[in-house]
Amino acid sequence: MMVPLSNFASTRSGDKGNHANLGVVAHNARAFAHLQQHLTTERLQSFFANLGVTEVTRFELPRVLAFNFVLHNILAGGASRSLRLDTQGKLLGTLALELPLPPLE
Amino acid sequence: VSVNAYLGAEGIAAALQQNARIVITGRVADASLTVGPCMAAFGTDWHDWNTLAGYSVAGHLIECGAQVTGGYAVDWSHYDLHDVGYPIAELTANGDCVITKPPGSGGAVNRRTVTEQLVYEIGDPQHYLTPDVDCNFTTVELAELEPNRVCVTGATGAAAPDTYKVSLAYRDGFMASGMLLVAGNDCLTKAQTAADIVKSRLELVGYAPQRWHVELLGQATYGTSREVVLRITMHDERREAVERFTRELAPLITSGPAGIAGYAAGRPAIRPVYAYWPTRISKRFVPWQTTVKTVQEWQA
Repeated sequence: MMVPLSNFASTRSGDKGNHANLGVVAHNARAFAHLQQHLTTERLQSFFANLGVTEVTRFELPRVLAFNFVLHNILAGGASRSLRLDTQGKLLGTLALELPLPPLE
Repeated sequence: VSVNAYLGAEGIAAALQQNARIVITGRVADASLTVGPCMAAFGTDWHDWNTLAGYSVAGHLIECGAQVTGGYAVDWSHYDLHDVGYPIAELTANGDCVITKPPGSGGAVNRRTVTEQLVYEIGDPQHYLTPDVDCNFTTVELAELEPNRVCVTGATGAAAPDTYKVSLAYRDGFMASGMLLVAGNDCLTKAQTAADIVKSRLELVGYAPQRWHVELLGQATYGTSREVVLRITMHDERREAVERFTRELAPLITSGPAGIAGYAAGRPAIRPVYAYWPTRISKRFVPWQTTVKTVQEWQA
């Protein structure tokens, strides 16, 4: 039985050219440790596969219990060329709240 | 069409030190808007990288206004956003700061609102590059002092890059988007069919779209919607091809599937596309200067 990322963290996303960033802020230290183990680049890559992401890079900010993911080439051209309504990837954070993860033990 | 280098805080600080009350500048990095006044007020050394990083973190936190005081927060429902307070960064000379907002205003400043903004639109958090300093966000610590006051400490930095970021815009054809409301249990199939009809008709007259995108907005995850908004976007270097696309939506009212509405909005507007090309330029090729005058002197 998987549970959504929103059980462990809040999120915020935005654009960097044709890439987007996804910031993930864990609710507490226990949630952060859980995400360190389970919120892998592979999980994000498959979650966002249909938006054309080509590579996912993960960074950790343990002192503020946060992660930053760079979602490469996910914006279909970037803010000025994208054919999508969400040209800047602002909604990716909200979508990611539904990413399924194993529950805390 | 346009090329802008993002300058740093030096010009702003220089102008303020010459008693400017208002500084008008070309493009500068967002964080530099905070770094400049700090440098002018505190007289910090331009090579004191940790302190510059502290000023820059404060600048990054307040650069998107209410995004640090509860705007766009995942916890939005906990906050009153109708009179959301804009952020205030109270800086000390050593680069530590307190993020707060005006008393009595809506929104909130807490660990989550500040952290969500700290990780907003960044790449490698150990190297947040500005023209002023190479900032490390991973050493930053936050403490909730009292309601709506978060203390930000511990930023560290390294020598500023010797290049400026450049944002270059070039012409890249034309674009238009049209939207129609599609109703019914079969709305997804119907919307897709309507989009296919428009595309086929464009191909028929020799305007096969170079870039074409169909969105079914409001589609539930499992495809059980009874109503979607069909949004079609076309991007092409031929203005006349995009023009033709904008004329192909209205005919669907009598020639397409039943249960589609929204034609009254008229033809979609065609807009020129300016594509974005970020690059860098050596700082030595971008000299800057400041000129400080009184209002009367500017008007003369």
